[in-house]
Amino acid sequence: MKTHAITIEVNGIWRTAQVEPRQLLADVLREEFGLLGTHIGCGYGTCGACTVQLDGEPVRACLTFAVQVDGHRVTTVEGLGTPDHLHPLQRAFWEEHGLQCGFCTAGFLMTAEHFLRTNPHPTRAEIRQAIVGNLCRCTGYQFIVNAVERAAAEMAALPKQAENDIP
Amino acid sequence: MPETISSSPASNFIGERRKRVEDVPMLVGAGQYTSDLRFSDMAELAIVRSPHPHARIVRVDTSAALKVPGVIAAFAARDLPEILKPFPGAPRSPEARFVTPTALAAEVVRYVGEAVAVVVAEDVYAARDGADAVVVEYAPLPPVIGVVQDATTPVLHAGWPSNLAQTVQIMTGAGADGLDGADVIIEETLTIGRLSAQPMEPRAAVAVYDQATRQLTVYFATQSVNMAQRSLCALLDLPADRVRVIVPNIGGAFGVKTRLYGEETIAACLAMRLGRPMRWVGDRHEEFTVTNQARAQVHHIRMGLDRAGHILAFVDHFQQDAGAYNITADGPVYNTAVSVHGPYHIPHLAMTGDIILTNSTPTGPYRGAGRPEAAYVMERMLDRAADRLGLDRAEIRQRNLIRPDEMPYDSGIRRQQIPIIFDTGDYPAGFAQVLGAIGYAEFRARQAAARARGVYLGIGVVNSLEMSGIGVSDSAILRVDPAGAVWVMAAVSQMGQGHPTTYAQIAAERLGVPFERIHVIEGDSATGTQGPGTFASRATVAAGTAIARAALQLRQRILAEAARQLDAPIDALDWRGEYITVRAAPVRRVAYGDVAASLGPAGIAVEASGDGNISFGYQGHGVIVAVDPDLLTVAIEQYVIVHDAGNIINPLIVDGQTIGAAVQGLGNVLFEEMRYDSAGLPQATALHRYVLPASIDTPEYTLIEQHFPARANAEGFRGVGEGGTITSLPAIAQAVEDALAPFGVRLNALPLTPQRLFEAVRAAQSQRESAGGMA
Repeated sequence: MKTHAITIEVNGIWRTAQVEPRQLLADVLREEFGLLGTHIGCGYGTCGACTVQLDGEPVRACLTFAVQVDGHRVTTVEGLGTPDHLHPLQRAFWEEHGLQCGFCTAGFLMTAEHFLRTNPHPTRAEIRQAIVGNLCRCTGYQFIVNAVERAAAEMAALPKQAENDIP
Repeated sequence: MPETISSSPASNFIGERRKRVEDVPMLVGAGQYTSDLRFSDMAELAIVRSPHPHARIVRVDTSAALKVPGVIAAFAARDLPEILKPFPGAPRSPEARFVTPTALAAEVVRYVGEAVAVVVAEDVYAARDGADAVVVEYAPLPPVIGVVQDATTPVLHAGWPSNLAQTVQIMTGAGADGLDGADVIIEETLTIGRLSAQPMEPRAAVAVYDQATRQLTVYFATQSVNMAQRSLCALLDLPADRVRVIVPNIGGAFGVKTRLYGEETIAACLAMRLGRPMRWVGDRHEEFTVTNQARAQVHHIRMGLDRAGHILAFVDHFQQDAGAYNITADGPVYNTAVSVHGPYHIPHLAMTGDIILTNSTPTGPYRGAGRPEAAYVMERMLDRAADRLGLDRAEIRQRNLIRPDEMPYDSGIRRQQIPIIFDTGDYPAGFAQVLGAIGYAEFRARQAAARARGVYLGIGVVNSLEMSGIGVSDSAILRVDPAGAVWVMAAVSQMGQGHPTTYAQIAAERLGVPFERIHVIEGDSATGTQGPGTFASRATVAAGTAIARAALQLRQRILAEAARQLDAPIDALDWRGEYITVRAAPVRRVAYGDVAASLGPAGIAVEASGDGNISFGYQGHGVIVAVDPDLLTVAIEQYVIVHDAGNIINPLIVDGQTIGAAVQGLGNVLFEEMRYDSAGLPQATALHRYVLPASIDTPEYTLIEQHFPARANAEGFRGVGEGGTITSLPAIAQAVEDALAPFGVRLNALPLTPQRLFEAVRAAQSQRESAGGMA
């Protein structure tokens, strides 16, 4: 099958890959770039586990072809924080027990990061609406809502970041 | 405070609301699930599966697959004779018929999704192209759908007189004869639909064979690492010392990752044959068609009571749809049979459970594993009885609950010789808390006011017991190494319930060392620890008590040696943190790690057994729902859970388990159903056709704890992973029926989808019309 050279800015680093048109962004992130934090839960856009950000907007990496993002900026959970410098959302998920098995967590984090940029002071109902496209089988969502609420409060207390800038 | 040096270290880790030690890797995307494993030269597998519920395999032609670029090899069953043994297993009763599948079907397929061939390729795209190119010719056979069968029903397995595999019977008192003394007998048929657990991680397996050492290592998400290792040895004809099973992070399991499936065996076999690491990563469709399904019971009940609403006899003949092979169906059936009793006085009980095969995916344990069905049946029958006798639904429960002064209470039930004894608790107090917290006394006025505004509120208040453990003990090994690090090993797996944290809390508490020094190793058949795995709310009880006991023994050994080195009696020593000191002369001290080092080059290790005894924790739910009278959708307005988790190790994790379990129960009641059409084709094989609870469907739960330490084990622990699911089924069902009471509906079959509610409302309306107009 014919392949295409693509160049993507992934978590701040420009990377290239030679891909078939049918290769999904999720597969390229995982198999070509070794970014295994993006998990594939369903493969058809329903569960939200593979959510990443494309130019700052959440997308399903399992419904996005890698060739579509040539020249664009992709942020995965690996770009959100590190063990030594967790993002406030990651810290809040930890504090509030917002994860159990952890398989869906990256998708929630990438969805919630975008949501808090658009709505920095959400109600619990707004948080529930914002994460409706992400399925979690373990937590029952209540502690995820707690975590996003806590992160919002912590982030509101931080100095303002530049638009679309994940620390 | 008096010092009790040897048995009570001055730490306080058990009971601490502590965030989990295992979370950071998962939060930064470094969680290492099976599908994340990478080995050089690894090949990918794709499985060819049956599209037919029942068919003879006429021909499998893999030649076209071999021409697909990237495909390395392709195999049908006939090409892999070394793995055509049926899966290991044995029936629990000698009169049972028992049949397990082979990893690939050779002659007949018996459900949609059964594996027929496997393709090996350089990457997963090529593997799937190859699988698409395999040609399988089938001769369809008539499918068997549902448990209502007769003499004309085709029989799935040669040599069987019918599809009835086994009948499980449990009886106490006079059994069905107990109905003779009843003032009223209530008959009902209740159905619990077929479910699919749907963990977020689809199953996967990676097998690596080292040709030089002849060691096979298989990585996959199993809840039963030792059973998996033994089964692989049996299937592959390998001695135990050549097969190791390692469990990576598990992305949810909920019971369906307890049994061994075919793909792990296929990957292992091909890794040995082809000399390359093999990886199979299942997709969501395979999770819907191949991974065990659950529930799928129909109950025919007769319940006898006196006029005051006291239960005299409960007689229930139920059928379990086992799917095409009864590899795992008997566990849930036994659980249902022994759990219907619940927290009530039942003088005469007769439970008969038929395990019946059909052309569908096998069923087996899923969160609750027969207990949600049992709670549903008992609680709905209490609702029916209350309605018949003109009693309040809470009142009839209060009249039948076992009292605390009767504890321990022997139900009279024996589960294969294991007595079912409710060890401790105060069920009436728990139920009173449910009623108080949900506002039961005020509810009827609130309901009437809401109905006047066209809002249909309903209330559900129910009780259940969560059975922890299955009566089997585990062992744990604790080692203190010369650097003072503590290594805790157990034969269980964790799939999100926090063992690395809770086990470290137990070890830190009982050993008396800093929490940070503890490392938990589980999910590895090479630890040498014994136990059947993580299921049946047993891991904290069985392995947790083993860890506690080993830690206490290790503490004694280290203190004894420290006493010798410090030339002081044990009871003159303090052990706080890193150092053991002579209390009266604190300059005389020794690091516990140095003591361990002096006992051996690798420090000192102790193995101890835990307490596997069964205990029962109370759980009561109170729920208020609002049902939209036009759309017949259900919204949860308020939800209260009262539960007895015994001695709690980590309240944060217990709360997370309880809420998570309750939401799975909510999905079971309101949304989820694995339907098969009359041709035997599964109708819900994708997430948009099988609705799971989402964030906007679930309430904010209020949790209230009771604390009755279990008497069945030395630490007073209980399991908490399943009570939320078990109790949700009857609670929400009762509330929805109550909300729709003005329509006169009776809801007997789960799930309560809008379509089913619509049919129930319409049926009630036409019944009323034919009876002479609306009341």
